[in-house]
Amino acid sequence: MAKTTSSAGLIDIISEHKGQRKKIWMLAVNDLIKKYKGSAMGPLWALIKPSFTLFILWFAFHVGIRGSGTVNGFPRFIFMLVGYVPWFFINEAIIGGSRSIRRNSQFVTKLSFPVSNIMTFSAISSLIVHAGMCVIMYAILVIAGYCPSLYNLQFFYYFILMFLFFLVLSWFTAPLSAFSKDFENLVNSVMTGLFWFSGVFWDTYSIENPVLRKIMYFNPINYFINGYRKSLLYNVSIFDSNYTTETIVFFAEFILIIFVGSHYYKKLRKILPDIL
Amino acid sequence: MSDTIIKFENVSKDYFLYKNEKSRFKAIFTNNRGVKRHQALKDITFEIKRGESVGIIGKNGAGKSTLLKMITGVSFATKGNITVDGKVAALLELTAGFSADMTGRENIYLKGYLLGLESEEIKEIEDNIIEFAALGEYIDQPVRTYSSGMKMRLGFAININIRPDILVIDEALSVGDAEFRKKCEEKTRELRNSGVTVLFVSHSMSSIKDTCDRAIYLKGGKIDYDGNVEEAFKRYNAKK
Repeated sequence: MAKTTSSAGLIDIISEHKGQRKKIWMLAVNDLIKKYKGSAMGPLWALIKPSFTLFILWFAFHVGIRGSGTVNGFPRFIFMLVGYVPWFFINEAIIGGSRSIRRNSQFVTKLSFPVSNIMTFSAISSLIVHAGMCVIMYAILVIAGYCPSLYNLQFFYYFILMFLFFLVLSWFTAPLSAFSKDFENLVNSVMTGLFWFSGVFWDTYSIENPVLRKIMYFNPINYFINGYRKSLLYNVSIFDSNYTTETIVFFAEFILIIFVGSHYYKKLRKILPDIL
Repeated sequence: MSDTIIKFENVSKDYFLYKNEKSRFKAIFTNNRGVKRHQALKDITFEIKRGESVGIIGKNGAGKSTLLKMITGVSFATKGNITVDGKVAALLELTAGFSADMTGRENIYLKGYLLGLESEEIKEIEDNIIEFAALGEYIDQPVRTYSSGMKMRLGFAININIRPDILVIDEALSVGDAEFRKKCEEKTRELRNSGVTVLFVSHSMSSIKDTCDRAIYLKGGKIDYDGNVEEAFKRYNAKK
């Protein structure tokens, strides 16, 4: 029974997106403009803010703490850069995604609107910023002499998959957060911990305890952060046999959240207009 | 194309009443079991034919808004079936969906997409909308610079020009000055004469009599009477 409602939810979500491309794009751009309205630089701030964080990291780890050393043979700043850039997106996608319905409640309570499009346009608006950050990151990597390489093409696999993963995650975090503010706070509180549990600052592959190292596979954020590093720094193939388990674990989780997400979406969709 | 444009079959609508935020959070996991409900509509059945003009009357809390929200596709039935076979223009939430930072012209497109139109269709009616809203140069200014009356006018102009099959009007809605109101009345009459189905919510018998040949009287979430306008108002006034 649960399975049939889940797949029905998935069909609902897909059909809600048919023929909506222009509208979703318009709303995604608008979402971005809205966040930075009233400033002369406008949405450019979305790039300036994280770039400033990166600059501070560079200053701290490259200039300041000289002895910060290397990670897997890469200067710590370069290693962190490739982790931080996807993290900015992940953070924004999880928090922004979970808030998206509540922030756009007028679409739910006043219009006949395919609610799942709200999650899509907020995820796209985060993705636009991320794409800009990736250009900056790649420029730094090329200047520093780590890129280009043929493995860099794998980046697009992780880029697209990451977008899809966190979009699907918001299929249930967004309706649940709209339903209960406590759930939204729960998501926010988890984020800080998640940062340190993910390999943004450190390398999850070099944990010595093999059990702990494998447990890290269950954190999907690591799949993307390490994936970005494989594509841009390590020059390791997606199909490298050392990481098959990690890939299987990730896809199992992905399929699970597709079912859970579409199930909750379908379940809550029809009562959302009544409770917001 | 069938003759019936709106069909309600044994429609009921429950609202969940949560005691507090805690019980709301708990409801996520318990599937709303044991949560108090308020039944806003009880087993409603009716049909509206293409081209009909129907007045909807009833006291506050009788279920009028719930009914309209279900027709416009905002809210959903708890039980029963609803069929709405056509494009609905609701003159209820005129400014909903506007982006304050986009210009009036851009908002015509945004709102058009939100109402389910394609770019080409919007392009066709764009000039009509601009002319009707009569905003002058302001059409290319961001909507945040508009007065509330201007926003309403733009909202009304868009909704009325999308070539709806069904027009939902709430008389409590006020759109700008007398002159613009007159223009709106003329336009709705024109639409009605062209065969658009009209649902009209009002407390005034004279305005319903002017526009409608049938009235539905809602009382406590049920249809108390459905038929002749005068008879409906007789009951409505009698049972106060």
